[in-house]
Amino acid sequence: MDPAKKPRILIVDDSPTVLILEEMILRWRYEVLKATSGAQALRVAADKHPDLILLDIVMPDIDGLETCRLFRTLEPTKATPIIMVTTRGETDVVEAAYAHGATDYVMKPFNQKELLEKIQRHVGVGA
Amino acid sequence: MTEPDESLRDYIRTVQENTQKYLRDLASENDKLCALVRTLEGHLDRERKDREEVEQRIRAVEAERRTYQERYHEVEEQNDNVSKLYAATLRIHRSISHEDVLAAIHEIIINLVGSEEFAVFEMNTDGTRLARASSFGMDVARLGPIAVGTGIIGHAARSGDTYVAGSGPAPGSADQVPLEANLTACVPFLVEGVVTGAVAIFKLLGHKPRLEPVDLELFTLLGSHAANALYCTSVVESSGAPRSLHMRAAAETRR
Repeated sequence: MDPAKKPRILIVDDSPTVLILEEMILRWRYEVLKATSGAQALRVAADKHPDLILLDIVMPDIDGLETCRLFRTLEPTKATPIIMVTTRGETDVVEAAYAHGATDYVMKPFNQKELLEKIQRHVGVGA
Repeated sequence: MTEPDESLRDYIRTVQENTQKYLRDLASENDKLCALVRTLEGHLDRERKDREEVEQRIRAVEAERRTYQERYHEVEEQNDNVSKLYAATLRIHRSISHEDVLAAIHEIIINLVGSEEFAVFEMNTDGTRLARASSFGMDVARLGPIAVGTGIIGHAARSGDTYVAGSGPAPGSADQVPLEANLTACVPFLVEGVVTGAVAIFKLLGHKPRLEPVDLELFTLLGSHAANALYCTSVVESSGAPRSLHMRAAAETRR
């Protein structure tokens, strides 16, 4: 990652409310890319090579777990940190997320501080 | 006999003189030592005072640091709350259809409040019954019409007051319906002081043990902004205007 550039974060959620909130929290320090579905996220990631991905689990069509697995099969995202951001806090879902290649996990409703700390752990503080 | 006596007297005198001198020297030395002790005590006293002052300053700085830390956490929390309220407000105000406003309400309750069972009700035209407009995670069959004034939800719909479980006696609990046994909160929708509907929140997400102060702020926002948005989109849709609005928006996008 070029230290002079803002790290690029792809946020994936089918809820516009969550996208608004995440973008508002991140835009000061990171370059933010948005996707509202798994398919769109895969296209954006292949094109823009994000440094980190925030991924919802409950989404129509391709859910977050499958999207996460597919990210790991693509060259540009096979090692990209993926943080699952989801309302699903059940142990089996958390385990499934890690089994599908997730790097970290944040539960909604999330706390801004917790989200930023987890992102910073993987890509640094940002500009 | 004379000579030895004389000699002894001389010796005794000498000893006495020496003793006197020794005593004078000793007294003088004692005075000096006493003065030195007083000086050292003065130094010690000053150093003790200095140390106390430094300790007091350290305590003050530590207290100030704690105050700043507490304020920092408060600001951080307020910032978090304001972000959520801003996102929720923006989402509601960006909605131009009745269906989209309902979707916005769902998103806010699921993602920002953290509930997995809730229902949105709208008031019938004569203001006597609430009917389900949408719901999430619930058996629709259980969500029949609710008469205004009956049970906790019906009472909230009549009074316009938000109900939050555990915050005191529940008005309307005497005739509560089975549905309300797991009710966490009920937020009436108010437009110009008139109740136009309500959202009833039943179950919170497993990892969310209780409602937080920001949730109550979100309820206030839903009770006013979402209520207005639902009302306005209903009015606009019944007038046939949204079609032209959508067509105009689509035309502007093409341009």
